[in-house]
Amino acid sequence: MKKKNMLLKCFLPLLAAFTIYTTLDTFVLQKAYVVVEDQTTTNETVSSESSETKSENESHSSRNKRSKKSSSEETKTASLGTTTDSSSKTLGPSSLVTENSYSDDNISISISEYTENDTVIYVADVQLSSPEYLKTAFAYSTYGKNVTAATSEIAKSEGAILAINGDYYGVQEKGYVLRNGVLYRSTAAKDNEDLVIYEDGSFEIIMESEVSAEELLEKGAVQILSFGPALVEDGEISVSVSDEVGKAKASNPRTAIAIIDECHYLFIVSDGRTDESEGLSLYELAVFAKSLGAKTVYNLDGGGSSTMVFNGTVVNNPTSGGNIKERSVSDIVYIGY
Amino acid sequence: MFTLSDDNAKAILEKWIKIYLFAAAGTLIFSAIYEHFSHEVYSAFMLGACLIPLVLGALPLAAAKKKAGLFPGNILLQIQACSISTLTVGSIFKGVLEIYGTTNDLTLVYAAIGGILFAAFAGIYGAGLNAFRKRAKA
Repeated sequence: MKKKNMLLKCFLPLLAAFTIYTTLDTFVLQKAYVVVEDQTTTNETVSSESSETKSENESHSSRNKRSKKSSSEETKTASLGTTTDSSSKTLGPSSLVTENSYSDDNISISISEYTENDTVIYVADVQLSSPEYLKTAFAYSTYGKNVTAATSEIAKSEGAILAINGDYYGVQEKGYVLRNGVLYRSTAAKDNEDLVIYEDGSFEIIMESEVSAEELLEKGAVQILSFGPALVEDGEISVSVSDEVGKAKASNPRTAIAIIDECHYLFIVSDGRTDESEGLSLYELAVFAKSLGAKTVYNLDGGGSSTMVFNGTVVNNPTSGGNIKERSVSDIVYIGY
Repeated sequence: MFTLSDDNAKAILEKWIKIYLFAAAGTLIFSAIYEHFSHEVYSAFMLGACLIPLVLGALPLAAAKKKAGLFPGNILLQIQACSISTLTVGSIFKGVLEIYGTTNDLTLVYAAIGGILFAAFAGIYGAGLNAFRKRAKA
C-alpha cells in the first residue's frame, strides 16, 4: 500500500536533525584550536582556522614560543588548557589595596561609580608605568569555539588585578584575533571596525577591510579587539544616534575600553536591563566616556557579558537571562603581571 | 507529478493553501514573541520568515487554483513543502543567530537546499504547465 507523503515524512526528520546539529555546533560543541601554555607577549602567527584546511604557518619570533598548536585535523580533539589559580602573581611590588583602588610601583587603579541616564556605570581609571601590564586572556587559556568561562574565573586564573570582558571572539567565525602578540585569526570580517593596541600602549581604530592582520602585526600591534563600533576617535564622538538603528538606540549593559593619555586608560562597564539600571545606548556611552576625557573609546561585547572584576570581586551587576549572574565569555582584557 | 484541475485536486490544493497560511501565521507569532524578548535587537530574517510560506507557498498555489488547468501533483507538492520548510527554518535560525550576535556558515545549507528544491518544484511545474497549455492550444 502506498504510504502518503513519504517524501515529506523522510525529509522533515532530516531537517530537524540538521537544525539540532547546527544549534549544537553554534552554541555548545567546544572546539579547541590552540592551547596557550603561557600567555606572554610574543610576535608570531598561529594559523589555526579549522573551517578552512590551512597548513600551519609560523613567523620567526625573537622570544620563546609557548603556544601549543594543533594541526587543522587535530583541532577538534585538542583538550582545553587548565585553569590554575595564579594569585601568586596578582600583587606587584609595594602594593596598596583598598576596596576601590590598587596602587604599586607600576600600576594604579581607581574605581568610581557614576549614575547617568538612569544607569549605574563603573569606571576604572588605570595608569601604568608600562603598557606590558595591559593584557588579554582566553577562557581556559584556549583559543577555540564555545570555549567560555566567567570573566571572574578567567581573571582569577590569570591573576588579574582588574578585568573586563573582551570581544567574545568565540561567537564569530571571522574577524581578527590577535592577543598578546600572537595572531590566531586573520580572516577579515566585512565592515568590522577594530581596536588595535600597539606595543607602546597606543590605540588605533581600523577597518578590517582596509588593512590585514599581518600588516598590523608588522607595525607592532599586540592586541586586536573585534567588536565595535568605535565610540570616540581623536576626542570626537564617532557614533550617531541614528547609527545601527536597533542596536545603537537600545539601552543595554555596556563594556568599553578607552585611552586618555599615554598608558592612561579607562575600563568602563555599565549595568542595564534591571529596575535600578536601564542601560545605555552606544551614543549615551560615547557622550559619557568623552566627558571623562577619553580620546579613543571602543565598544566591547555588552548585554549579559558586561562584567568588571576587581581584585577577585565582581564589581557590577551582570544580568544573564533575567538574573543577576555572570555570563560565560570567551576572553577578557585585564591589568596584571 | 501533475493532476488535472478537477474538484478533488482543487480540494487538495485548498488544503495545502490553508497549511501554508497557518504556517505563515504561526511563524509570525513566533517571530513576534522572540523579537519581544530580544532587547530591541531586530533581524530581518526573523521578521521576514513568515513571508516564505506565504509568498512561496500559499500564493503560487492560489494562483494555480484560480487560473491553471493543470495542478501540481502530490510529489511536486511535497517537494514544494520540503523547500518551504527548509527556507523557513533556515530564516528563523539565521534570525536567532543575528539577534544573539553570532554567525554560522552552516546556515548557507538551508538556503542552498531550500533554493534547489523550490527551483525544482517551480521548474518542473512550469515546464509541465507550459506543455499542457501548448497541447491545449493545438
